[in-house]
Amino acid sequence: MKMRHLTPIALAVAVLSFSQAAAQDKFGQTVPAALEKKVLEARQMRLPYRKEVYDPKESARMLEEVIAVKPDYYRAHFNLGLTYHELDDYEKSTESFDRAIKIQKEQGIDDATLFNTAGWVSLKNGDFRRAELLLKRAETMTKGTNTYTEGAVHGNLGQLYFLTQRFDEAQRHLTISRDEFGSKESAYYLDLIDKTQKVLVIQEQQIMKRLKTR
Amino acid sequence: MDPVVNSLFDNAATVLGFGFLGLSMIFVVLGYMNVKQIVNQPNPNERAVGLSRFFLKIALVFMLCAGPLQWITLAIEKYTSVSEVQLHITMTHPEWEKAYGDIYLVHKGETHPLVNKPYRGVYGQDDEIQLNAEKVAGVIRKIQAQLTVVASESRRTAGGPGIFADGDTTEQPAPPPPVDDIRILSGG
Repeated sequence: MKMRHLTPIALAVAVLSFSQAAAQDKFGQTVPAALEKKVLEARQMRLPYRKEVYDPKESARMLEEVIAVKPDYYRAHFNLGLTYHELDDYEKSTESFDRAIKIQKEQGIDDATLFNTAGWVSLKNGDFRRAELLLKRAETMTKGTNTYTEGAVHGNLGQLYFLTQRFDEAQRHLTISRDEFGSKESAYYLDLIDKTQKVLVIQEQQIMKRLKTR
Repeated sequence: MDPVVNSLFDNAATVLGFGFLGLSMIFVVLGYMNVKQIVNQPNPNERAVGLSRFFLKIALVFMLCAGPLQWITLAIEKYTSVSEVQLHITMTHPEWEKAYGDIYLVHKGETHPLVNKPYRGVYGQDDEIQLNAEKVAGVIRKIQAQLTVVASESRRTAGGPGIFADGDTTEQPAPPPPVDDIRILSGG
């Protein structure tokens, strides 16, 4: 227990002694190398397909330590949001994403992946209203960029509208994701919508039949 | 119409019914005053006595008419007037999704949105009120259709026969691996 309390202090000392090694990270923030290394390690530990190092609880603990030293570390909050999602703690996950969004706004970090990822997490947790707000924001930010994120945003919006029975909008986004970005998942959802609409036609025919016989 | 004038019309039957009794009373008083005058005269004439008799006869007619007239006016009022009530209607649902559609109340050909919007209306007896729940029913049907398709998909991928809308049970492509999800998870 004592060791756990000492770790952030030791980390802070390490950061101060290696402050010369500070450099810009993936998102353009100037971060001490030791902290970035720790975030990258924690990131590997939350990925379910990295079975040899998979330990999301430890990952969350490490990221919390990094945040205790550098509270405005955007990438740490971003990863912590995904780690809590991995731990099925949606409340803490949204808190982390909200803090990352706040830092992004304050420091002018240009990154649409956060909105797409946070929207995707909300979508996976059935919080459709929040998911739509975040994904719409990501759609605006990625429009015309022709990046992977742009395609992923359309795919996620398509899934969201499929799950909320807005099939016309779902088809529009999924078609973009499939045709322009080659998403096989979007093609699968388009197939599901097609099949669902066939079932709906049969349902309507049955209703009409029943009404006529009355 | 002005509410004061309206209230006068509302009480027309009562006023009319009691009005006949009032008229009857006036004629009784007139007859009594006339008799009192005749009694004080040393030589009362036949015309003055006839006038008293006339007053009392009219009073009697009004008295007899007052009851049935009151009764008739009350019956007419019951059949012609519409009893109205004022109702406040709303459907409070703070988490109402856009996809469920709007719920409208249709009254006298006018539509009023209801979800989270209070509506105040005056309704008469036998007024017809309709609720447009068609879109909600449509959403429920879509969910049912989705469940049919998804259940069929999961049976098929689990090895059981899958039945689709068109009755096609031939080999269908399996769901793709969640590559997009893995890529999103790898972000950050």
